[in-house]
Amino acid sequence: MLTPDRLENDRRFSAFDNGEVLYNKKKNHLPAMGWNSWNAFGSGNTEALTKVMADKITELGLDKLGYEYVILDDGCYKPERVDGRLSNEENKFPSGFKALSDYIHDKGLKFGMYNDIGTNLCAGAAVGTCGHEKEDAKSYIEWGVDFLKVDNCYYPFDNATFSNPENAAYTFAPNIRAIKLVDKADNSDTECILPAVEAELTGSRASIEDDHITGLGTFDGTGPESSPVGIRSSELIFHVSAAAEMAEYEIEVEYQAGAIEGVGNWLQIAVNDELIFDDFLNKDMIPALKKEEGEEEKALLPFTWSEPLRIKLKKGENTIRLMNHRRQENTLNSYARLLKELSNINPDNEIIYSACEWGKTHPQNWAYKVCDSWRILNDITFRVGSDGDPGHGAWVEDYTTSVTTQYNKAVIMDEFAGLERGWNDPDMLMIGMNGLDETQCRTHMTMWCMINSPLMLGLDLRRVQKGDWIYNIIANKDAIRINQDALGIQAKRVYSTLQKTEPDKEYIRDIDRIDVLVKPLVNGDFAISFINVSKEDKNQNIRIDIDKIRELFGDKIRKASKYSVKNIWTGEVSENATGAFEVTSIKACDNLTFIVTPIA
Amino acid sequence: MNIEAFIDYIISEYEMAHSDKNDIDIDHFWKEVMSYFSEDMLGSPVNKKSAARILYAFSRIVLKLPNLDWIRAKKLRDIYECRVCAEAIAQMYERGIIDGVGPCIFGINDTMKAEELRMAVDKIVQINTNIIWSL
Repeated sequence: MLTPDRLENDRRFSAFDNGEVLYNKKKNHLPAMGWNSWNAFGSGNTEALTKVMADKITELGLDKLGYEYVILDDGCYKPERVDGRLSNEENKFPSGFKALSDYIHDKGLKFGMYNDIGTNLCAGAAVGTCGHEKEDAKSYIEWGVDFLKVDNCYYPFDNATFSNPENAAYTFAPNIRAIKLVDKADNSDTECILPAVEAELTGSRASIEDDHITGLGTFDGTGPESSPVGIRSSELIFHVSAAAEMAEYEIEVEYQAGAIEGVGNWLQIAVNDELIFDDFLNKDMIPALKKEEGEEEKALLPFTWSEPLRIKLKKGENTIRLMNHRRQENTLNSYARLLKELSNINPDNEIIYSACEWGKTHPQNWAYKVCDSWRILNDITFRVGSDGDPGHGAWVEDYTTSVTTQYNKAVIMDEFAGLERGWNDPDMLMIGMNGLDETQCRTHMTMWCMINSPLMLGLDLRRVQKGDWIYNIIANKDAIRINQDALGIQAKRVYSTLQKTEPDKEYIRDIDRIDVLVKPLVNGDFAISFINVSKEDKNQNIRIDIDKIRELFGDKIRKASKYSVKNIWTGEVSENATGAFEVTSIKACDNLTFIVTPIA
Repeated sequence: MNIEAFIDYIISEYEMAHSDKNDIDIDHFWKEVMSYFSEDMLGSPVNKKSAARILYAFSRIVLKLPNLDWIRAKKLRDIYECRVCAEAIAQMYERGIIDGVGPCIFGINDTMKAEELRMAVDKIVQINTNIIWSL
């Protein structure tokens, strides 16, 4: 039976903010640029197609612009391991991965591959890294892999895609009605029952329901519903005082175990800073346990009292915290297990590690410890292409499958990105797919460059010619300069026509708006982008003053009496002597983006 | 009917219905779908998402059917739970080869009965590609 690891403190929720990476993870990588097979060919990618794409990257000179990674996504492995090892699907990749890696490296490019922290890959092959990290790390090093994208399907410890829905038992605490403290110091066994509804509740996921607390855990961030900003994971905190030092008590919890999103069976209990319990509370309700034939898992059990646990309280005020941070901790640990093996083999490896857990466990909080970037939502398109079909992308959709859904979330996540951490990843570019026109593709590129997203081309490059509109977008040197600026600062939204409070923190999903983004660049330059997110033309005066920008960025933005202003899409250069940057109209889905250089 | 038997059934039904069959395409289809499933999975019952993936591969590789735009399929809430089968589900749903369990749910993990699988195969092998192309 697979069980989550006992965890070291360095991957606990309490360590998420300490800024420390695991296993010597190398940092200071700018956002990765390259081509990934998924949006172009789905699981139908082949060795022949990949070689043609590598050829096209060099033929078009995209490598000189920074596009260096060629990444095989899902669909390249045999459906099962061979002698415990990963192996190439022989019809699609007849020469094997090392030969393809050599081909790509010989062109001066870098080679990327794909796997999954679960038991299977999303396309079904039973070759996930879960429990096979050591041998897989060896394979990847042998194959000369420079980039790894690792997915989250069939994950055994959360209710992820294709996982058992009852795995929610791992990721949420039970409903809590009360705790009971029994004084064991003087054998009096004096009992004190503390109702949960009177305790302190932190975070925003849990809530009071009748006489109990429910939802102790964190949001599922796969869909676009929940904001990435603020404390998302909840804790239930009892404040208790003790009259004597090291006073001995027993604690019992009145709980209702479940196996549904919001109500689980795994509880963490901390007394002051010491974690004293971290396990399933009800030993019969464990998803991985085999059921009797015909027996169905119950979604919710009746309330009951737990077995007693012995604790010690210090004299004076104490906190007893009930929580379950395992949704985030387990996922971090699973990504860390592969990193550990890669680092064991080659401690100096610079493999770019891309977490693709779809924002489910709020990786913006923890992924910097092990990865270089982290997906923030489910996929940007589910209508991927195949050989001869460019696939389909959308500007707006209710779910994650559009440029604007991804952008709406990423644009307020600048606090999580940086050279010391890594990058928010709103998924691969859809430039060149059906469904998006030239203007939308240009703005898509601008958005991804301003928010320091990895730039992964997702189209069949045989459709691109030097100088055509697709080429002119993906090869725009000023846009790429913004994305690859050495400071590595993600743009901040400094203004939105729909803002109510703080534009850089507020999660705005209505696209009927204009956003203004500012991004500091090296040498005192900065980029400013006016983005019409809506599908309607906007005739509106939007003006941002340098003083307002400096309020948000301080000395990262230099004040001058004159500025040189270059429109990155027209190349037009003008001079600004007012320090006020303004536009009066923007076409639907268009952007006006400038690199501003203080000159006096 | 398990997944392996379902794949064999599609090929045999198509070969019976089309004397002008293209063996290269059928071989390509077989290799493609065999790459989706491990040995264990081939012996499992066919759920709706797997049926959709197999039939979609058949429609592309053997029947050369173009993709339809997503109209009704956009309303299927569970389609986004499967990134590798979303297009397949949408295409089979739009063409009426596999129905949903309601107007907004496809039922991606529901097991299909042998009779339902045979009906889906009947529908797809009978598609006249000339008519579809001219639509």
